[in-house]
Amino acid sequence: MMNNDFAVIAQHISKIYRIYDSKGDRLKDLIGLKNAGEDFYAIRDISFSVRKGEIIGLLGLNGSGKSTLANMIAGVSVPTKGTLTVAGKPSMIAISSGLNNNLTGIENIDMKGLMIGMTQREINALKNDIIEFADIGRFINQPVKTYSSGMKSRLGFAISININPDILIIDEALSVGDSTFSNKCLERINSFRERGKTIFFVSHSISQVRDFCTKAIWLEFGRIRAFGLTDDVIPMYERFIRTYNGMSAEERREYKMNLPH
Amino acid sequence: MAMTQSTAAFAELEEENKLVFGCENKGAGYLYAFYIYLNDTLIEKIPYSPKCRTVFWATLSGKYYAVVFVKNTLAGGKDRFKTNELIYQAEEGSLEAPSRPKKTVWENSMEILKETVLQFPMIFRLALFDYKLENQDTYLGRLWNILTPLIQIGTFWLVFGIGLRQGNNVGEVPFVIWMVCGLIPWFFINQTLVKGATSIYAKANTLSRMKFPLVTLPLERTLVEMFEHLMMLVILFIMLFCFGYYPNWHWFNLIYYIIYTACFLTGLSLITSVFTMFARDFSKLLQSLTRLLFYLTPILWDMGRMPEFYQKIMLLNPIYYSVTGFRESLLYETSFWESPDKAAFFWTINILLFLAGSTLQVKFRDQFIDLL
Repeated sequence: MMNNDFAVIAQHISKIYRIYDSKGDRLKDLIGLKNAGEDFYAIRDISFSVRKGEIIGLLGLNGSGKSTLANMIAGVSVPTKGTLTVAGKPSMIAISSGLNNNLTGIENIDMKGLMIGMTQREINALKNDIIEFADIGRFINQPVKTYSSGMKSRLGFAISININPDILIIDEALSVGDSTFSNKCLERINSFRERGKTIFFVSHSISQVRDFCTKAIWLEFGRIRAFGLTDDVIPMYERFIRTYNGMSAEERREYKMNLPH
Repeated sequence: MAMTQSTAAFAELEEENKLVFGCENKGAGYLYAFYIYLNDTLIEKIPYSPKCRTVFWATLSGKYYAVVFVKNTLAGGKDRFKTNELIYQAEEGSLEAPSRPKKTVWENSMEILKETVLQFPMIFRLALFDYKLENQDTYLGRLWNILTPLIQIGTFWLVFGIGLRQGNNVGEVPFVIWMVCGLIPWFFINQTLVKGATSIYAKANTLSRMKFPLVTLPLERTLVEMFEHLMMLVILFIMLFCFGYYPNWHWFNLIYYIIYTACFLTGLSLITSVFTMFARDFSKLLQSLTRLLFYLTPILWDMGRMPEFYQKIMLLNPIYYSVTGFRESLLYETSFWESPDKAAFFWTINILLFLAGSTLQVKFRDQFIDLL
């Protein structure tokens, strides 16, 4: 079924979290005493396919499931139901970049590299590029806990993008850091695009998605509200945002209730 | 106002899942709104605009159609048209999620085994890296890895050797060397038991943003502790020289016993690391149990004076097998193949632990990241 053109094929995937009112309920559910928890669908039965080389924007309100979906594509978490096929090596860039605070910048580069299966020699070959891109000067030999949040995300970004992934997933990562750095990132992402790599781009900034993405997935409460060319999806999303922003809290609740299930 | 199903409004499937709804362009002054239905349920409202076409990206299978509202803003007047119906079939064509095949214990274990073998170079390099990092934030650094056990050995020797035994030998062997031959493997076992349980949990923070085979972490932890253990063996050998024990080919049995112990500990950690992911209490409990196990196993005291029943029970203790293994090969010139029944029994336990551990891992590993 997977043919060579596709980077990602999702078939009826759902991500279900069990939520509990208390630790006691959790324990009861765990040992099978009682069905205490409740299912929460972060992603509910969605299907889509993405061709290689497409830049997909993930749009949606907070809690719509964007990050959950991004995590699943990155292979960090696994769908509860359905099948998600990802062709190639994914790499994720997120605000909390998963660096180890007690290790120095250099050690973090080593560790991340080892964890994705590189040898020390391969890592050393990339090290200079990463350090140069992250541009954190002498701090590279200091523990990451001494870094500013901007430095952390720059290092995280530099590692993720220099390990040459096939699929890059960017989760809100460009919203931190100054404009010089985010421009540098955009440049690098553009060079990725030119090499025909697939990129997923989670952002609240409609203009970034418009400038950058070929297609967009609009998620709403865990479902796909729209999936298509950016030019088709963004106007719908903007219209929705305008209406939604104009709603009172009461109306918003009602809106959530009345969605087709 | 009657709803006309007419050629004035249409629905088309343009490509993949792109549905286009539209109606004929009536010219200036007209506005068009669309209500899109899936299986007769309204799923999307598109308000009045001068555009007479709209696009909808279908994601769910079913029957689609739209009702187009046409409003004349100049002359007044409204009309509505229903488009033709379209059946859209989502890829694979079923609304049910494809079911995942249930796997047998054997298949689970083979999966884990295959993954471990494939990832072994990575695990080994990572373990070496972690080993180098440990104790890095102290001034004396790796020296502590040797100092801490030496101080413990000294304490136990004072309390058990001088105090309780009043310096008596164990058979013909000086107590201190007899004790150290049991303590050194115990240090390995103790560290791995405790840290193996938290092996996945402790690393999970760093892993929450990347794809990583979590199932390999118990083995990685065992390897880190094994490197430590190999350093300790150097101390052990030096002590043996001092007491007049010189290397002979029986010492090569240690390789067998170290591999056996590493497999046992990895199997056990596969299980305990899953429990720890669900409840951190488990690792606390395990710490206490390990301490208890230390005093129950004849590491500091010799079995000779125990009731026969207890001695029989102790023969079933995997840790006792490692500890006696070390003593037999280093002090009593005995090899492991001289008791094949024991070897068969303890390797069966190892296999059972691995089968249970890999089943648990396969069953729960998809949830690990979500449990943090």
